[in-house]
Amino acid sequence: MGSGFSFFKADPVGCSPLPSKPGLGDLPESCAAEIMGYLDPPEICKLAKMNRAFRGASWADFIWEAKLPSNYQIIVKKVFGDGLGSLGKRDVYARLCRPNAFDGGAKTVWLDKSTGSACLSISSKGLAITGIDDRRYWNHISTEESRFSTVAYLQQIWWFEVDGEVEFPFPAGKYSLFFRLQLGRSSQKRFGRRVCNTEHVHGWDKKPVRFQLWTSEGQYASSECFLTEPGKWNHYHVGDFVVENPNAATNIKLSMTQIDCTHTKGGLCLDSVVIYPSEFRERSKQF
Amino acid sequence: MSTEEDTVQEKKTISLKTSDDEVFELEENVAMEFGTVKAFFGDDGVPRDMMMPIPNVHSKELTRIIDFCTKHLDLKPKAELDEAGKKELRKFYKEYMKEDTTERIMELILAADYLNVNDFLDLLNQTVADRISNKSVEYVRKLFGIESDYTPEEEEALREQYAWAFEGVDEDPAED
Repeated sequence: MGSGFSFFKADPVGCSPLPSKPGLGDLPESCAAEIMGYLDPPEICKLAKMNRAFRGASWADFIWEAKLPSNYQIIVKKVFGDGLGSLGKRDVYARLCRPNAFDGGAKTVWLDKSTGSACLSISSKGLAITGIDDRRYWNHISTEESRFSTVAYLQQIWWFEVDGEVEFPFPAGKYSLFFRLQLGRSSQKRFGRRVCNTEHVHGWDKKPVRFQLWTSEGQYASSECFLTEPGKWNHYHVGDFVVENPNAATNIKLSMTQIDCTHTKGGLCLDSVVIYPSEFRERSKQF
Repeated sequence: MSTEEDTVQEKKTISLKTSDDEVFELEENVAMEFGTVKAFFGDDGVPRDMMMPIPNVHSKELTRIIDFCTKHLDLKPKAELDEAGKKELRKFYKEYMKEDTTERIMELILAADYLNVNDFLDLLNQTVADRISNKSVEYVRKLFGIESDYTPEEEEALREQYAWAFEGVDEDPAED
């Protein structure tokens, strides 16, 4: 607040020719910082480009401390160990907004830059896929269509099971968990045209797939659905969970199964599991 | 609003003298909303009947600040009582600055900042933020008469430095 703050007056560079009318540039830097604190981070950064005084104001620690999740120090410890040293809060925020790998690189986490809420993604290589070592069933293929540059491709199998686990200090809130999947194997042909090979796609219309999640707090969610729309990446919603205590890491176990062995299934690309704040699901409905 | 009202007998008042030499007498509870005044008189020492000079504040601004504080002091306890009170306070916040020009708001911010009137300052800051939210840098510059003091090279460097705030993290948010 302006309380007790020494009045560092911003240089009134290029202000209106009538000095009796104060402009934004005449405000003490602390006031400019207070105003910016009410805006979201992209806007703050946008206004920082106005002039030096604004840029100075935009670096105020208190602005970014308020944007960071309350448990950001725990998150920093988890992701960077002790590696961030004495960065200012704005830099901490910027660093956390980039996708950061953890747990050996098979998982990444980032803060949504506008809201400061945490998003997390687990690579196919970070999941326990039954039969992954048998090349008759599964193969890892490189692709630009995954943030991890690799997906797991299923040719065919009787017993389909994918399990995963992640432990992370999620900030308090409600989260939705999804599997990012595609029926069919896509590639970029000459001239950059995207082509999807669906010759192995079969069996998904016979019985639905079952998705489940469990949290260390005892929450459980499950859903069932038929995989559809060959050639298109879809996020299949597993369920939601709520985090109340951000100071303890939340452990999530998840699984996707189709183990009816009366039929085989195949032609599936498994990219990742993603966890987003539930409100994003509402936002994306506008798209 | 007390400008040259006589002091009410039972109520304690505080006197403030503005930059344009006007003397205001305020009820003590209103005056104590001003952090600077509160600090000036303190818990002991300075006697309450002493006149406090506020040379950085014009009577025009002080009048408005007194108006806000008086109304706010009245509405706040009601808001703690029930939902209707809360609604009234929200409405008050929403409407109070509606008619003011951005220039006027700037003048009030400077005065409220000097006097340390936190509640009013919060409202003023929020109002400015609302008015510049989602507007282009050029619009905001014009609105406040600010010119960039960056060289083109510095502007370019800034663009890079802030790129993180504008780039996507690839992947669209969840679609079903």
